[in-house]
Amino acid sequence: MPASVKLQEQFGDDVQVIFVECQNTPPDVYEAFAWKMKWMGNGAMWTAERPMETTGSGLPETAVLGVDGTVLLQGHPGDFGKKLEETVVAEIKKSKQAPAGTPKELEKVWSQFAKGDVAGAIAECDKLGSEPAKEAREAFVARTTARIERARWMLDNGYLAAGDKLLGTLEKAVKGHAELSGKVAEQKTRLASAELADEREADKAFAGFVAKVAKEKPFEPANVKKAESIATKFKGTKTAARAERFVALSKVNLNK
Amino acid sequence: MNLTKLQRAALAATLVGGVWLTSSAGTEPSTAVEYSFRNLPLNSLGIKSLAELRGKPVIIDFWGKN
Repeated sequence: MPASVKLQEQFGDDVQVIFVECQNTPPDVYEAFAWKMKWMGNGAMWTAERPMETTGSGLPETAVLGVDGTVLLQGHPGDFGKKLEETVVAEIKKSKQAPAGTPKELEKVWSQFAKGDVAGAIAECDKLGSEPAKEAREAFVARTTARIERARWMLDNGYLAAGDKLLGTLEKAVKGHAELSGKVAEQKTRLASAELADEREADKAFAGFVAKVAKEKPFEPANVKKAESIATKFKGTKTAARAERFVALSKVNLNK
Repeated sequence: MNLTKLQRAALAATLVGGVWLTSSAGTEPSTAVEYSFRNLPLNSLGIKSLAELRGKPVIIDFWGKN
């Protein structure tokens, strides 16, 4: 198993792994392959688009971007030793602190924001009233608004369990801030609406199914049958389409 | 054996092995990597760009199925 899969599973939402397939393998083939290798069922993302250049020294190659988006490590993962995990752990620690170069008066505020108290951090910025505090406030509002938009995307696209989790976190984070609380409440209302009832039930069933089979033999006939039954029961939902895709992937010839 | 500075640097890089502590070719050290995906990655849950991941470490794993 690639070290990255383990790190995604170990650190969850604190880190983001992006797998980039570099051999022009068709998406259905590499996705089916990843399922078969038991690399799915965590938060890792999969693509064939290279978001940055490689060193050209062959595959596999791993790059670590820090909290500021800069490259901290790049090379063959086997050459990193403990450095890969140590770098990730150090960056996760940084992610809970104020960014480098933050004025002293704002260090506590940034830390408050990083720990999830968005409303408190914004209120503190308002109290301080300085130009740097206003800039920090803008950053907090922009980042939180982007997360609310992401929750909206999840609801629009049938990832209701993930949306519910994110909205729960956001609800606590913005409690006391009227505007942001209103935006979160709007999505929470949508999530609970009758319009999304089937999707909610379907996503719950499929998310539970994925969590169960990801580390077993995902494409065992009994598992495929279960996915088929989810697709049939919830036909017409976005989740059913994902279940149908799972069934299709189970039939992919991996030697393509 | 007389080696130019460039040759000595190349030799040192070869001996050290494959770990780079700075950025890849074409990316200046200390510059944030920017990229917007043309197609949403699988499991992206709405993430469209690296900029949206700023604030947490990102591991990019280049691999090949074959």
